[in-house]
Amino acid sequence: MKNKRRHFFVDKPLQTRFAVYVALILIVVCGISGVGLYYGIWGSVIRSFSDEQIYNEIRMAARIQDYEHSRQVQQPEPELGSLRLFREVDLLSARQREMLAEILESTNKKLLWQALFLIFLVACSSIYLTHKVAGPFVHFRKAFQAAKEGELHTRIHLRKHDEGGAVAAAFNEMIGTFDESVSQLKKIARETPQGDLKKKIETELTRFKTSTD
Amino acid sequence: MKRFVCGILSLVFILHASAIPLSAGQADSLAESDRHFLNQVQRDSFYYFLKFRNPHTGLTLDSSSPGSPASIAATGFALASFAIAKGNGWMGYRDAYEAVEQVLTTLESKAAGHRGFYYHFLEPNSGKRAWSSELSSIDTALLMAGVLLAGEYFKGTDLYTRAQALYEKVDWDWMLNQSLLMSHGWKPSSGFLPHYWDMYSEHLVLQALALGSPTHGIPKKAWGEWVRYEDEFEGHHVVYSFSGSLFTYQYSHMFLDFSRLNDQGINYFENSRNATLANQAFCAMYPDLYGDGNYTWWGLSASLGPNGYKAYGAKPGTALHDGTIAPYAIAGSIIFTPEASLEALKRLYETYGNQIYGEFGFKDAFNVTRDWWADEYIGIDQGSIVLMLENYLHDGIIWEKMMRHPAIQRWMTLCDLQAKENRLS
Repeated sequence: MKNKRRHFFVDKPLQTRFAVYVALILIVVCGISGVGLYYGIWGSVIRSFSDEQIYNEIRMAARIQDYEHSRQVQQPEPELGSLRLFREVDLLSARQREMLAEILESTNKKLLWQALFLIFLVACSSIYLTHKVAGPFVHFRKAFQAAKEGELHTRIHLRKHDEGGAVAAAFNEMIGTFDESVSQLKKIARETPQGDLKKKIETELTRFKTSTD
Repeated sequence: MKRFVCGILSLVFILHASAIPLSAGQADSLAESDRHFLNQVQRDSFYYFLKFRNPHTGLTLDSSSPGSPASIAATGFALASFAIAKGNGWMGYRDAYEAVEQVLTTLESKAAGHRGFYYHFLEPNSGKRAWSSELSSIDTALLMAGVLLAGEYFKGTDLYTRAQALYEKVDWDWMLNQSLLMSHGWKPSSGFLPHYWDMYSEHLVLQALALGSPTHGIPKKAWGEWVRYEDEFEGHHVVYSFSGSLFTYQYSHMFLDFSRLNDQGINYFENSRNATLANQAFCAMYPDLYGDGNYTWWGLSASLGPNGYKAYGAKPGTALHDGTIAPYAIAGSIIFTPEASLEALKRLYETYGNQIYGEFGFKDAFNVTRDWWADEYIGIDQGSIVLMLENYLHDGIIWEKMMRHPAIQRWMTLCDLQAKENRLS
């Protein structure tokens, strides 16, 4: 029979907390990406094509054309302004290609740095989040190992905000019971005379149900 | 016999001395108020280079106009100006050193160029090519003149070595495009520009640096290849430039002292003086355009004007003119016609100071008859004022430093320019 999940909220507080953590990280990532995109891409585009900037570029195109012409004075001045206008438009168009190339290059650089920063941020957040779960797992593994080796005095102590507090408490209760029983058995073995020993051990062991019962 | 020889030698000395228009200490006779005035103009003009240099690259903006690209020629003048500012105490040694160092670092690592040449206009922030400009021969030469001059002012430091390395990297020979004339420039898309430095103009400094290069020197024949057209205007005999613009007679003279050199009987210092006198005479012929009732203005040179930037000039030459005067051309003439230049500058400051004088000294141009006043500064024109006044006020200190440079010495020897008879004087 297929083991289908029927309830997704098996530990509502734990799952809700994790949902909030992940959502917060995503909000921060989206915020940084949004601000970065605006200032990295649209900001440069808006600045480069603002009314003032376009006015300056048109003026500068005329100036560069004047410079070129004054350098090459042997060339006759065009009688009609159309040739001059064509040259200015040509200059302006070349200038705008340069500006776009500059914007693209600086944007790519900014995006690269932004992506690296976001990867670093997500990686740090993941480590923080998983630490709240991975830490208890490590404690559990060590406690199970200790119990297997007969160290029944072992207990699990978790940090205040670590996940798995209830599991740790249940484990501690369980191992506490074993600890108490085995201690009792040891005491009986030490203090009871040979004849009553078997009966007392059997009485003590009746607390435990095993697979062979 | 001994007396005869001594007499001949004395005569030669007197003739030679009289042929040197700017003798050491000429500005010593200046009235204290005049010296103070010229110092103020020079210092104010220098501040352009502090204000309009990019903080990331050190490149200097072409003009004070918003959105202006950086200009490599203006950057060359800025380098020279930082060195001058150190000498005059306007910048501390450390500040000037760092300002020069920043530009050299940009030129070494960021500024767009090819074969040691740089593009005319660069993006101020990144040093990339701007406005699809050409790899410019003359602008690279002006930049290199500034680089070498700054190196001379910081001789014995790392800057000197780095300046030499930048200069030696320029492949001047390549710019000949397999001819004997230097091309105006080169573009990646279309190759060499179809214009060559084929007659007298501001390119003498380009020739000097190209001929004197120890690594990529151009052949000696190139010096004789460009044409020296001669003409006369109002009794002033001039080897003239095409436009007749004053800057063509000034730019090379900012860095190089031609007063003691003769080229095939031509003394270019004397030539520039004649061209300046011709410029003054030309303006005097048009009192309706250049007079304001009290004074006839002069100083026709490439500058802004009511209809944009034009290569204004006087005769001999094409003499494009519309009444627009460039104050930098007046200041740049101070080594050739000191009295006339000083008078014009003082009158300009006193009469129209409110319109034409600002935070960075004289603005680029004005036109009295059309009541037009530029509200802008242009980097290379500011440099012209700073450098020429430095030579005038400090006994040709720039010339002294540049003329002893091995590259300049090599050029003079190669082209046999040592003092001889000057047929223009």
